[in-house]
Amino acid sequence: MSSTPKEYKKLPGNGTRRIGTWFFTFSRSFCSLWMGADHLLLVDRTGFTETYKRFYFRDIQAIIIRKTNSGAIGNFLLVIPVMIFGAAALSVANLPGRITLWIMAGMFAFFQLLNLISGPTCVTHIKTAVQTEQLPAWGRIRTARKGMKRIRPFILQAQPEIPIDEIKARLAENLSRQFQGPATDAT
Amino acid sequence: MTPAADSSLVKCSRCQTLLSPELFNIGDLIVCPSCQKLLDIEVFPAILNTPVTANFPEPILVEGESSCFYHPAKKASMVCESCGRFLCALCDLELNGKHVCPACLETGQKKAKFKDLENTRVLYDRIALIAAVLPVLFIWTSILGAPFAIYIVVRYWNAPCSITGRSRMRFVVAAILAGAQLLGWALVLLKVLSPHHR
Repeated sequence: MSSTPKEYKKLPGNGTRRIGTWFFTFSRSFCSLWMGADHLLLVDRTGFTETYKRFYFRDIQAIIIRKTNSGAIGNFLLVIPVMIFGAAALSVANLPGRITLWIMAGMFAFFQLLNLISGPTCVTHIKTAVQTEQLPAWGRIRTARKGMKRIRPFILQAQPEIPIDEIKARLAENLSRQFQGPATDAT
Repeated sequence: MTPAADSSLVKCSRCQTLLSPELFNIGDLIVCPSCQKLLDIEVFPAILNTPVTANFPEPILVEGESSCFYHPAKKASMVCESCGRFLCALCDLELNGKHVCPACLETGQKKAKFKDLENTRVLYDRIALIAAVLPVLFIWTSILGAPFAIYIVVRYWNAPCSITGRSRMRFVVAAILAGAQLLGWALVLLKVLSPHHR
């Protein structure tokens, strides 16, 4: 039995999209990013439903990665229980109690180690002519760069070949026109 | 602000400040001049694209000219490849090189004919697996959970799974687990009703 080739290939990274206020989460969806023949597929899974968003390679204008402090804050928050449980384990004379506390400290230390290994956190956005959408799957700089490395050739292949210096020059022109706009309208 | 100019502008995702093109495609983190956040921006040639302007249909000037099915006063420029209706430039919708009318597009989307338009799917395989696994934790609830899981497996076996190409393994696992639970309950029932037990 021959298996049909898969239409989508998984790109590195998984993340969650949180909907709610800063202290209360109304819903949370699990996000992943997949690469199709001519587009990127953003999959948001909430419970038993998947929603899809497609970004065609020919339409992708920019990818913006912004470093965040979430990883550093997470490290700081995880080091507190490690220290508390570690100190408690050292002060307790009872052997089963000491073992339990060391296990607790070790568990938090393990999560901290995972956080450290994953590297700095970031927020990634993809820009097209009509939208700028967050890619929660790329929540770590290393993952985002790894993913970018994989999709870059496909994006460049799907778009006209223009040297980056020319792109920058034309964008600078657009930007200066943007700032001159209201003045010329007034005259 | 013209749409063309607006679409080519890149803003900081934190403070929404317009960024200078000199900061793009550096290959390393740069500092936003406004909020001081670290950014890595990669732009692609599509950023120079001007938005596509809409095609306006031409009015019928000569009597007897074929007209659009939806706009009788407008000249037909294309035929819907799905239903064969004449369409004006406004009603002609191109999808994967196929020209269709708005009605066929809507019907196709509802019936999941056009895979590229599909934006939601229900994961029945996941429902079946959860229905087969979760009730086991509360033991008695599996009397209801197992038949429900089997119903989902049978009813939605042919329903499409995730668009990313997931196999039907979850359905198979759910059916095996639910079957085992039902068998277990049947054995318990036999044991309880057997004359030796009494």
